[in-house]
Amino acid sequence: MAEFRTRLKELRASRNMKQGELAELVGVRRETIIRLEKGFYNPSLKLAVDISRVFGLKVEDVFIFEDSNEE
Amino acid sequence: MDTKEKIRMLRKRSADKSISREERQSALEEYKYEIYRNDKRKLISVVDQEKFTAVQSLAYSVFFALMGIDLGDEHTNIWMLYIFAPIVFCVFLFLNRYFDLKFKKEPDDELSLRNKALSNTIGFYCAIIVTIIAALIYFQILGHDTLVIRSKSAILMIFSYINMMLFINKVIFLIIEGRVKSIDDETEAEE
Repeated sequence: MAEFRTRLKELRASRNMKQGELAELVGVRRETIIRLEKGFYNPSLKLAVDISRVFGLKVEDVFIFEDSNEE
Repeated sequence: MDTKEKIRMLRKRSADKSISREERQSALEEYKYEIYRNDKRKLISVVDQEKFTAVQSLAYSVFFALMGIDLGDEHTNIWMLYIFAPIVFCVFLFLNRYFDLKFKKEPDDELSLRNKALSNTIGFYCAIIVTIIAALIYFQILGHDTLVIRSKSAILMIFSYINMMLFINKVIFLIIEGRVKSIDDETEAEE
C-alpha cells in the first residue's frame, strides 16, 4: 500500500508563508492545513490542485506517494 | 480588477442563465467566499459555532425533558410552559441574532464537512446506546415499573430527544476537531 506524505511545511517555510495565509489562499481552515502537514488528512483532488498551484508546482511534487513495496 | 468589481462580476456571473449550471454554482461559491474574505467583522470559527449549538441543544433538551416528564403525581408546570419557556427561547433567539450581526461565521470546508458527517454517524449510534443505558437505569436500577408519557408530553419528549442527539453529535465533532490542537505546533506569536 502506498504511503502518503507532503512537503507542505518545507514549501511554506521556503516562501515564508504562515498556515493561515495558505489556508486563506486555498479557501480552507487553518486546522485543515495543520492536518495536511501532519499527514492526518488526505485532501480532495481540487484542494490538492489548488495548493499545488499556490506553490507553482505539480501535485505529485507537493503530495508524495511512496509505494512501500517498491524495492 | 479591484475587489468590488470582482464581487460585482461574480454576482452577475452566478445569475447568468447563458452559462452552465456548474459554472453558475462555481461563480456563486466564489462570490460568497469573496464576500466572506472582505467582511471586516470578527471571525467566529466553525468550532466556536458548534460549541454554541451544543450548549443550545443541551439547554433545549433538558428544558423540554423537564417540561415533559411526568414526575410522580405532578403535572406539567404551567409556570414552566407559559413564563419560563418564552424566556428561554427569547434568550437563545437574541444570542443567535447577536452572533449573526456581530461576527462573521467561518464557512465549512471539506474537512469540517467530513468531520460533521462522521460525528453524525457516530452520534446516531451513541444516542441509541445512551437511550438503552437510560432505560436500564430507570427501570432496573431505580426500579420503576412504568414510564408515563401523556399525549401532551409526547411531543416535548420527542423535541428533547432530538436535541439530545444534536448535542451528542456536536460533542463528538468537538472531540474530533479538538485533536487538531494537540498536533498544532505553530505558536500564536508565529501566526
